[in-house]
Amino acid sequence: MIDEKRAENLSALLDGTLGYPQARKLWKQMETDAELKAQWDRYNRISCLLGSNPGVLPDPGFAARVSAAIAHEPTVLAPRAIRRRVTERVLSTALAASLAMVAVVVGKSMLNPGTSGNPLQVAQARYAPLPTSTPVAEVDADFQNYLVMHNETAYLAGAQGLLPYARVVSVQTDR
Amino acid sequence: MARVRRSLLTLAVSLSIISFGVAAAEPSVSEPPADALNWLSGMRQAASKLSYKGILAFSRHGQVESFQLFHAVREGVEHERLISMNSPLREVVRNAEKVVCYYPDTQTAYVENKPSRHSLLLDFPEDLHQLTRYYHFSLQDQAYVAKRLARIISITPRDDYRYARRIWLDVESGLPLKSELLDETGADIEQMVFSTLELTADLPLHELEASIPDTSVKWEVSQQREMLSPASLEWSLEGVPEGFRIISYSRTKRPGNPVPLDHLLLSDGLSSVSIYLDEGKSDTLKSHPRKMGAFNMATRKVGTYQVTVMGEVPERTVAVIAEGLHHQEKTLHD
Repeated sequence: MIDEKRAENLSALLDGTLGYPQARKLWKQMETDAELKAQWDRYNRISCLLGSNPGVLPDPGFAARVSAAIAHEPTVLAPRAIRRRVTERVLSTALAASLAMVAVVVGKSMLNPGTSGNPLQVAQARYAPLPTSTPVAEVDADFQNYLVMHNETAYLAGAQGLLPYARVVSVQTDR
Repeated sequence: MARVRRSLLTLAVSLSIISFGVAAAEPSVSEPPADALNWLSGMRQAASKLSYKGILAFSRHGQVESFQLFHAVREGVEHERLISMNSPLREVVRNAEKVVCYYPDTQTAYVENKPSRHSLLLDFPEDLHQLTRYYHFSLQDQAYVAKRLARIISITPRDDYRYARRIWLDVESGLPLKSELLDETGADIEQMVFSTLELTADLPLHELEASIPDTSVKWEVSQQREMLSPASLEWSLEGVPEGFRIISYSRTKRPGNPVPLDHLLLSDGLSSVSIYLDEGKSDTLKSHPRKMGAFNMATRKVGTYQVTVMGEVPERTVAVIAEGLHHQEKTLHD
């Protein structure tokens, strides 16, 4: 059992009342604390149901399908970023499986190659499970950059529909 | 734990309601907007004028991400903040001057100084009537989302070149509570939904500002592209479905590659498609899938160019546009 303080923090996080520094700390803890992650998963399910939101409520097999899909899908990463992100990706994969959520994987934009990109970049991360007729293979940097440029310009042009910034990709600086 | 106990109690009540099968549809109530376009017009106004905050989920390509959203108008200026709740942490802050994306993990901030009039929540064109040539708008049933009564708006394409959408609008405020992007079979391929939404008179400043001090981050400014006139385009676009127009034509220089990349963005106001004209690439992008959720791509060689068409439109749309691309000395297209 997680302690009452952390349970309260989880609840506050779900309610949107937890301060950002505390929320960030809690998310960090969830990367290594399976029990905490499981509790968060349960709270999310409760929240989804309370919100009359069955559309995004993962069914019991969802996490398993996500894990299976991740295991068979290519990594959408720019070449220079691959080595650096492997550990994070493994962590994210584990987190995704337990929470039925998948963290965004980053890419590197040719728009700003000397640094890391810009803020208006697509949250294109991993492929959904592909039809069996579709070849699964490596995704090259050009394709990733095309996606980045498309979503950036589409947002600036006002042609992205709802929640355009959900497609924003985190393009990390070199560590 | 008290919150959780309350939640569980409420959940039990909710489940009992669902078991009687009355949770989804509700009897019609009177509301001012008379048609779907008025509802959507009201949605644009509400999203930009009201103060609100909430938690929402975004599902795409089989993934779900959670965000916190804060929006307020202070002294006539819009302020908006979107925080990802999943790793890697991101925090986007928008105001009248710029959009800044913060990455707490790396203590980095990227600033986009272009006009930021576009909401982080929704991005619909101002002139909705122009869309009626290509989409049919209709009012549907009512339903509850995030414990708020919503009116469902259905947006159905009049041809096979675009996706359909459904939007749940809050009856009280007009804000979008949920949206779905639907493929050709009617299956949802992208979804946004609020799990909580709170309307307030105002929001405290600390909820609208970045949690990271500007002095503690490394700043990066997005690189500018060279914008070109569509009149200078030396390509003909013969396969573009009706309604798609050239929104931008730009050229980007690439390090280590003497040949720049030309990019065209087409849009019908709701759906957008990109065309990449790459003279420097010898092989076609052959190694990745043509379809990812709502996203489709088509690529082929045209002379010395590799042309790639991609966007969140059906497969047939990118295919027909790619097939209709022809290099010529000079073409005027709009």
